[in-house]
Amino acid sequence: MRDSKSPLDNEPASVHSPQQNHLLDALPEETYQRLLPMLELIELPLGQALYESGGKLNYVYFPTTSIVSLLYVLESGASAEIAVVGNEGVLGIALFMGGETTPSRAVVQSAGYGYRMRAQLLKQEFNRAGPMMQLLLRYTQALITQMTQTAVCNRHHTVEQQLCRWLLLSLDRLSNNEVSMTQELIANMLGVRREGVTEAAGKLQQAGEIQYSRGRITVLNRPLLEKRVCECYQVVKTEFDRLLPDLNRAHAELGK
Amino acid sequence: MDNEKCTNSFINDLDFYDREKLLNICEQVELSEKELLNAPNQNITNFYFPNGAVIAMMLANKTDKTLELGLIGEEGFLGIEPILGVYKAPYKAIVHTKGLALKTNVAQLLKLISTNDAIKAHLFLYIAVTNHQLAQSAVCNRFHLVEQRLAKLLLMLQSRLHSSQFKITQDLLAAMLGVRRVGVTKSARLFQHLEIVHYSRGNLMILDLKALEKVACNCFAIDQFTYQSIMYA
Repeated sequence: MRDSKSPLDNEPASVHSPQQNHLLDALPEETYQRLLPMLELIELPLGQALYESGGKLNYVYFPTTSIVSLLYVLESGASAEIAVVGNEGVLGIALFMGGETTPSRAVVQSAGYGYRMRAQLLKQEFNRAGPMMQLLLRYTQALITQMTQTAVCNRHHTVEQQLCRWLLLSLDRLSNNEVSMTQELIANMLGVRREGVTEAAGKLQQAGEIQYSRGRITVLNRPLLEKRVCECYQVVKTEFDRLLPDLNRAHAELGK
Repeated sequence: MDNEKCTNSFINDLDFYDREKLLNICEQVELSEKELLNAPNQNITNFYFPNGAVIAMMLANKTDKTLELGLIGEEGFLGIEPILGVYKAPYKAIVHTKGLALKTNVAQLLKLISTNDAIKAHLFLYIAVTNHQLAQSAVCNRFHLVEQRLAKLLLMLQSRLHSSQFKITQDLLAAMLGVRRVGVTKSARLFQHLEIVHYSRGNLMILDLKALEKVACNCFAIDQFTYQSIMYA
């Protein structure tokens, strides 16, 4: 099925599994097996745009080792991140709400892999009104919570706190403690001037919380970051944390 | 309730039989100003379809700094979360302008849509609208000036109240915009000077709607376009 020239061939197939995505992993075995042939492993390189705002949704994406940023672009061209999606989530929720286009731009923020599925196939699965539907709906609410919390955070918290929130949310979606990112890009995500990010990152570095060099941020002391961050991080985290246990409970109830 | 009297356009956009089915599980209630409909982290028990009243969704953080996330009038309903399978309110829903609303409990509506795809699809479209508008407002809050956002808020109120005159305090406007009161005072004074609004003792009257639209950021127009293009696609 895979193209022989695919860069993926350099890696053993066993490295990747759809189960690295928590939503797919939370599906009951029967549903998971049905979806498996429809999932296609793809590489998601840094900076790749999966959707443009107002664009048509041909695929939905389930990131595994990558992180994708949802950016809302204003008419003036100014944009800011409204949410991040990694191995806990899915991109393309506008699809099953009936809106055929996406309001935001989706750009790969941290290179890695993910699985994609044809939009039409996901819609069919959604319409079965089974566990996949429940999962996607619950996830939509978690994403809306992330979005609204980002809005209030943008309004009321310092760049430094926002940077901490952004770092921690990214870290939760990665398997190591290193985020590849230029200050320029972080400034674009947060919708602030670059100097603001430089200053905030400098402060965190001085405090020994992070180490920043050549587009790489290494988190050295996570507890300190967690102390400094505004409550927005915890609000979003709690919402995502309770998403999956609730679903597992729902499955158990269905199985009764 | 008397089904003829429903002015909620979201419900009225349904086909005749679906509209009847939905109205049959609703009762008309009078909502009073500042009535708390949902409290953060508390169970959501009812859906509300405004029939004259306007509901505000407000997010507050620990330090009590607030932000208005959206206003719900006759074009929509309060209660997207239970449809998404979440029964605890993520934010506060408070009555902004007193008036009538149609109320139905969560279990009843969920039961109805479990067997009615047309109503379910209609509700989903509104969730798509809300999702889009929340994304828009998150970024609007970030970049647009207080006066642009104040103008946008007044336009949102005007369109939902079908009236150019309403009572509102500067404290409430500041809380909704998430800014200090002085920012609102300054902008309000400017609008007054330009004869766009007349404001005295909590009574606000929009004198020049066209001028207000010009001062506002484009987000109001885009919100309306979003609603039209998704709901009537």
